[in-house]
Amino acid sequence: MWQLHQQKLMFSGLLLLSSLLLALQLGDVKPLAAVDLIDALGEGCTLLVCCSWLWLIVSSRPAGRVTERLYYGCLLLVFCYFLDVGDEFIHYPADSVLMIWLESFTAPVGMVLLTFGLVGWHHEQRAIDRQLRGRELFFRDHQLLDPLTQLYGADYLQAVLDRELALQQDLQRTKQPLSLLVIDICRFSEVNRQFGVAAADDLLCQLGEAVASQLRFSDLVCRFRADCFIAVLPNTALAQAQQLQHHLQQQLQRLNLQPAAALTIVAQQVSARDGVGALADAAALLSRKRNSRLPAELAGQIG
Amino acid sequence: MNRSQVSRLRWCHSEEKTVLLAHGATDLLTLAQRRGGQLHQLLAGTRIFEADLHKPLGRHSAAEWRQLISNCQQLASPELAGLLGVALLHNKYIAISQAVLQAQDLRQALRMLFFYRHQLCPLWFVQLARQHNQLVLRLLPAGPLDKTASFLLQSMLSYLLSLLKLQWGDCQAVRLQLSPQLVKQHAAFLPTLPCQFSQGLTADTDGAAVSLFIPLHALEQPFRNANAEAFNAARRTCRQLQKTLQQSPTLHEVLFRLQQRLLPTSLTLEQASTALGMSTSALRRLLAMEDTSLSRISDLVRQQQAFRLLSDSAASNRQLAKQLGYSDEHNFRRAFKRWTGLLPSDFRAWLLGTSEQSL
Repeated sequence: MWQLHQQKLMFSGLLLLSSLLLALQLGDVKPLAAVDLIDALGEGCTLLVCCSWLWLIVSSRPAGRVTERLYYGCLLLVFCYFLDVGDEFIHYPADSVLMIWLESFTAPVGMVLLTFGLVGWHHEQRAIDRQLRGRELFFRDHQLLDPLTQLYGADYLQAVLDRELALQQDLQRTKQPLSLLVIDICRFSEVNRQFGVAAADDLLCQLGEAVASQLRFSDLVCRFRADCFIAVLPNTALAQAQQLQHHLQQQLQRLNLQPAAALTIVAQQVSARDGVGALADAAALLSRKRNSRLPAELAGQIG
Repeated sequence: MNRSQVSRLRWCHSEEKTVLLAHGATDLLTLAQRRGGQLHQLLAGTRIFEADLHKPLGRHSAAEWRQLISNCQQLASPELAGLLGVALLHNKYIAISQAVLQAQDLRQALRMLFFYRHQLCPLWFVQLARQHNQLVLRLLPAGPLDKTASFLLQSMLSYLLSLLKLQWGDCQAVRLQLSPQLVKQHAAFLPTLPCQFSQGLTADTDGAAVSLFIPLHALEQPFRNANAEAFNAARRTCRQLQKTLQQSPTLHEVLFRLQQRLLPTSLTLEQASTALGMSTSALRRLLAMEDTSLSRISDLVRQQQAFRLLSDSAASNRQLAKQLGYSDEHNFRRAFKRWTGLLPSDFRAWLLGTSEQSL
């Protein structure tokens, strides 16, 4: 990512270098005995932390307006702390106003800029959350992401179900139903064999993408197992879930994913009475489905 | 003293094993890259260079292979090991996979796999046994049992079982048995396997063995894709490849087999070091490096042997104790309790129960 910011980095280096030269020009170096080491150490640490923020911004953010604000805000802080550390080692004459001004005004300006950047970041994040709809609910932990489909995995699903069921128990009077859609690729191992592992991976990615885009804002799709996705539909009764299931079947049929594979989609309502072991429920649902003891109209053939 | 004991046994350090890059590394890398892994990060610390990956006979050491696997394990993708097995099985450039796919029946396929095992899984070794009317494949790690070893175990199991599923269309006849520790480790992986699995009884920490039970009649069941001509061609390629690889068994495997031959007496450090042609202190150092000891190996051998004897014969505890080299039956019972948490008689009853289930 840092290649995007080469000019900025060069500018910052030059700025710090020129401020050092200016400081050396204006003041003179203190003898070592006069340096307060504890003070220098504390300010040095602050400077290092600020530098690490700068590095994190540079290495994690794409170029853009928000990044620019964050970057220059942080740069001004770094600049201020740099001068702060510098004045531990360099003595300025009492009448040099420039350095005092530079030192005391850069920090507030930098912080204001940083705040604007953070506000921008907040708006940006809301936009990204909208982009993430269908993929994330209330909770974020990038370590639970499945690296292939970029959907969350079974652990995340468990956390979400635990929370939803706990909420359901609390709101017993309002009776908010919770449903699950189980989307399973039939004979996935045959896809693996016929078309190769690469094509099978491709199919999984496409399917995850398609399912996530077809569901509503409040829904969540997770990759439960290698060939099985589970969608959590909060505040949805079984009838509604079955409508969604038909919709999904039609849409997936229309998309005609390659390589072709048969899909089974099952809708099921989960209630708090089943306890927090809802994932065990889902697994049981799946195994029951594998034994093909489900109504014929629920098993859709696609491809 | 017979000749085999005078002449030195062939063996190698588990890190000296070589693996062909095309037989695992390239497939693993493409899988990992599709899951967002960066090639330079995946290859970090392995001393494998990108340019080497495309050489048909490029090789790397077992240590590098383990490093590569542990790099890939950083990806938090639990399906990687299983997929590696499938990818290896269907790779057109791996001669042994092609041979196995076109073999006549399971007997021929297993023979190929056993004979050319160094080309595919140098870090595990196999013990064959017959139990009632079943063939038992016991997989044992040829080095320390760590995360990489269990990764390889997963990929091996998925290799074998997807072969069977492909050829027979269904492999419910095959039963897999693991120690509770391994069942816990592979909790997410086991349900995806197309066969039955059961938790073994070995309760101690050394219960590293994984057993695969295959009914004897299934060995002869003809494979769907049998093609004698293609099989022979692939076998020729395997034979040539074999010459380029380190074929000696690892220290762990050699000592295991040596102890098996010496039962009921225990293998001593002196005996082992003369058989291997080295000094006792060198052997002790090597054992420490491999994170094992002679007593652990002989305990493992006795455990395996006890299971076999208990399921095969109706010998009394006193006879078993004698055959396994315990001073009396109490010691044997105590050891058995330590391995399984059960008394030998209870174990026999349990075995009868499970074998009836699988019939």
